[in-house]
Amino acid sequence: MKKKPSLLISGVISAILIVLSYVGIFKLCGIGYSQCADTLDDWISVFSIIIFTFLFSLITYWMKNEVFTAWFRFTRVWVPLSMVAIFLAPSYASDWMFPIEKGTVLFIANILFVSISLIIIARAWWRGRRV
Amino acid sequence: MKIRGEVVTFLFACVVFSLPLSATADISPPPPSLPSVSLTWGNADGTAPAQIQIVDGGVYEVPLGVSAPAFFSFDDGTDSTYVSSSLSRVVPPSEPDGQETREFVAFVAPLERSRTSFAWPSAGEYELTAIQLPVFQESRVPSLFALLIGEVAHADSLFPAPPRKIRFTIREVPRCTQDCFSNVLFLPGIESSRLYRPGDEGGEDKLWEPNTNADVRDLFLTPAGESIRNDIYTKEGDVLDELPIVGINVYKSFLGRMDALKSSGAIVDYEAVPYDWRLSLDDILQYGQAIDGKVYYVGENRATSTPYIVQELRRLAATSKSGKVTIIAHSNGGLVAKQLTQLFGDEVGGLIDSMIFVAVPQAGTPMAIPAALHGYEQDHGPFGIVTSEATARAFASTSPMAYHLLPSAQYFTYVDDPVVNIDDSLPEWQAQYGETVHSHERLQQFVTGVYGKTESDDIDVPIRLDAELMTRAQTLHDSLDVWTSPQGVELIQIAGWGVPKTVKGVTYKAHEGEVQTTADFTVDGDGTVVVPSALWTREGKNYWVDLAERNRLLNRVENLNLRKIKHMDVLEVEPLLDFIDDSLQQKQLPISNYPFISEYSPSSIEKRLHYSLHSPLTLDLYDEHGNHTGVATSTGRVEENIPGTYFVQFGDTKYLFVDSGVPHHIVMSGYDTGTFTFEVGEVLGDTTTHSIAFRDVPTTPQTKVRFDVSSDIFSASDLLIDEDGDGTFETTYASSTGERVVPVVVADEPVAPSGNGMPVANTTTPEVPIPVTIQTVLGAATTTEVATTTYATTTSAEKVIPKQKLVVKKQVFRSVQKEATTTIENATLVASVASAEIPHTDFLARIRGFLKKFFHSVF
Repeated sequence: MKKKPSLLISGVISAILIVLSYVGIFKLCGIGYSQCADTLDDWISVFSIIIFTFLFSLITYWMKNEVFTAWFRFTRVWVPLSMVAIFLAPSYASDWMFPIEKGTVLFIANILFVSISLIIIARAWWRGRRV
Repeated sequence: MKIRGEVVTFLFACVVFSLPLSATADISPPPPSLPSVSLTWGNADGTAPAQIQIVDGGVYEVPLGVSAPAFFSFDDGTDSTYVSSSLSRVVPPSEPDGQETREFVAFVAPLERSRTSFAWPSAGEYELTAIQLPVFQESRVPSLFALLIGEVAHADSLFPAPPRKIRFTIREVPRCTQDCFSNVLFLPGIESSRLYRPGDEGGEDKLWEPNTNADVRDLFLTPAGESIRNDIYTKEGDVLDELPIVGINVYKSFLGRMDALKSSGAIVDYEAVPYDWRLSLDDILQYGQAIDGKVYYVGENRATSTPYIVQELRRLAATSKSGKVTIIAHSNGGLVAKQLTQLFGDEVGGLIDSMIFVAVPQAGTPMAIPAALHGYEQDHGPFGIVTSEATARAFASTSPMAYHLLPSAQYFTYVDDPVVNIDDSLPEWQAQYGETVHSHERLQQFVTGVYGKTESDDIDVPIRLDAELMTRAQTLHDSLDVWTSPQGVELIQIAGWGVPKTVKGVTYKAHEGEVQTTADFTVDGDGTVVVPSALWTREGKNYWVDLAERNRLLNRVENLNLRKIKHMDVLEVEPLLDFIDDSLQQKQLPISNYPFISEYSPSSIEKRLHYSLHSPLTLDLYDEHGNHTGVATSTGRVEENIPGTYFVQFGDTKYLFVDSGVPHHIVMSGYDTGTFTFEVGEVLGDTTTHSIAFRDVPTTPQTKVRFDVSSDIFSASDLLIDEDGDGTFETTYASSTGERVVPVVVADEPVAPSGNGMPVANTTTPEVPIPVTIQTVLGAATTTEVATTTYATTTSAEKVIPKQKLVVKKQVFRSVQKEATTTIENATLVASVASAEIPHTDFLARIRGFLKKFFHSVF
């Protein structure tokens, strides 16, 4: 994928997620608790990693193609895998000692994504500079 | 021979021990310079009240009413023949020429004998009189011998030394006048105190939190509920602050707040009191000896005259600025706190000023049923490697704590939803236990019954619980469930709401020839404790924590904690901590200052009923339990005894606000002649969605009006008017139009007055079958939201008694309505229930189950 489509697609999805988070839930599901709000919240969790994808797309947009390509090779694997993992995780952990739930999976997936992305981008950028 | 031998021994002893004394004893009157007596009072370990030495003629400032150890001694420290002393308050004469009198305060022992404790009752003059044993003089041996052989001793051979007295003045330590906030005693929940045992090769082994199934097995109890190992202990202050490895906070933020309050000087001290949560409440409060920082509730070290929790409470009260303690209790800690207050009896008002219960399962909670029978959600570690469900339920089956948490008999008087449902596919089970369990007798029969139970590790099949422990738990609840906060002790109850995984019951059904157990859920709880149990005590001031809102992704991101909060870590909700902080510091801020905290059920945000009355009539609201909201006739003040209801009056206009879904009836009584206008509106957020208005209805001082609502505005009855107060409703105004439609006589027989003097409409409400609302939710194609409301009608009386409503949220593919009639005791329950086919198509759950079983078999 090229830089621009990547930036555009992730940007649009991020915008939708942010709008949904702030106002969409109340508009679609109403005030107060509802299964609708819970479900929508879970779906936003699943896609939330796209927001970081957009940020890195933005960062790499002004960098060399090699940097973007190196990062995107990782991203195109990591992002779908993370989304599947978040989707599969339960909303509420049943084990309080080792709580595996959407929130914790989301946290770990995003932390790893950001860390690995930074390393890849820095490495690719450094290599490009040396060349 | 034997008697003679003893006599000889005794005589010998007398001679030997009397010789030195005889040699030094002074026959003459006491020496001119006697060692002076001093009284020492206070805590030797430096805690307040600090130890002071009281001598003759001194003036001392002490806290009144605070008990502390005391002893008397002599300045030369030699005379041990003074065996006791009597402390008295000197009461000045009431008349100028009268004599002062003495009021006995306490006996005080000397240092080398057992210590005693006493509290100064008031300021004033005191006198301590030390009393000596009769001292044997030189003629001691012959006198004893004379005594031995039956002769009366010579009077001049025994010389009691004269009593020695000191007189001093006690003043009260100046009372705290500003920011006199109470110290805090924190009682954690179940499984929230760490437990240890000595290590096999020295050191110690932490059993809780467990690292392996073996750790949990070390915690097993005998069938009588006694610990098998007698060397298990907890440690002072060692409650679960955060979990190791995963680093998840349990009480860390809360304890951090307490530390901050202490370091800022707002409170003098606080203590998080760990206890052996496996045991009965009696054992927890009767035992607990602290030795070198370890607290023993089992084994030979547990016996003590000052049980740890009691001792800590007294210590905190003694050092508190207010002289009292605020108890904050989470979960099972609330049951301990309730029992603790009963232990102190009348003294409790002097020790405790308020109690804050956070998510306390006061009348038990349905979650305990699958937890005890199946180990439901009690396993730890991936695939139960650390603790398997089978181990967990075996542990729970002999632990009194698990039985305390089962729904009590009183629970079923308030919550009608069955805690066990048995599907038609299990006819033999139904024959044994009935179709549903919604009484304690049925629950006891079910959990202790033999039929269908297993002794194997098959967690899909329930195990059998112990009948004796069930009975003991119910005996405990018989007193705890009618507990009211002691006089002078404020009670705040906080319930977590909005976790849709809160178990409200279990359903058994046959599936492919095997018994299958599924949990039924409600959103009306914090994931473990259902709201009615958390807000059980009637006198308490109730608050809800909206966990559904707190757990929204946006709020989790804002709080930098992506995990969803539930029962275990509800004390990690920051606004709740703010609220508790402010309560401790007696700051009264509007509840809107605390996000997610409300004084009414968060579910009511969607719909509320709003009544207004412009008229010369009183306006009162009653629920099915007879609780009242309105102006109390006895005090003339507004009372709001029904949770989620408010009464406001502006001029002659009265307003009532009620959560939609709360069954209630409105009663109005005329006090002047004129007309009234009564308006009912259903409000969604700030918008009135539906309304009814009854305008310009004539009224007199004899007029009585009644209006019933079983859930929302569409369930409202017509307006019934008894114009002349004779107990018969002569006029009806239709709720559909607000118009007077037909002047009807509803009752064939005279209407019996109700408890509040109001006539009860003989509206023989049909056996309710109350509408089941099935609402398809936008944006969730495969999800249906099911709300059930169940009502019980007695066959003998005509009064409808709607029961507590639990909103049920289930994931369903299809739902079928059916009507089930069950006879319970003397009542016929007509329940319109939604039976939901819970899909078993969740292949991921199947994979998880398969992997779990696989790992169980491997490990």
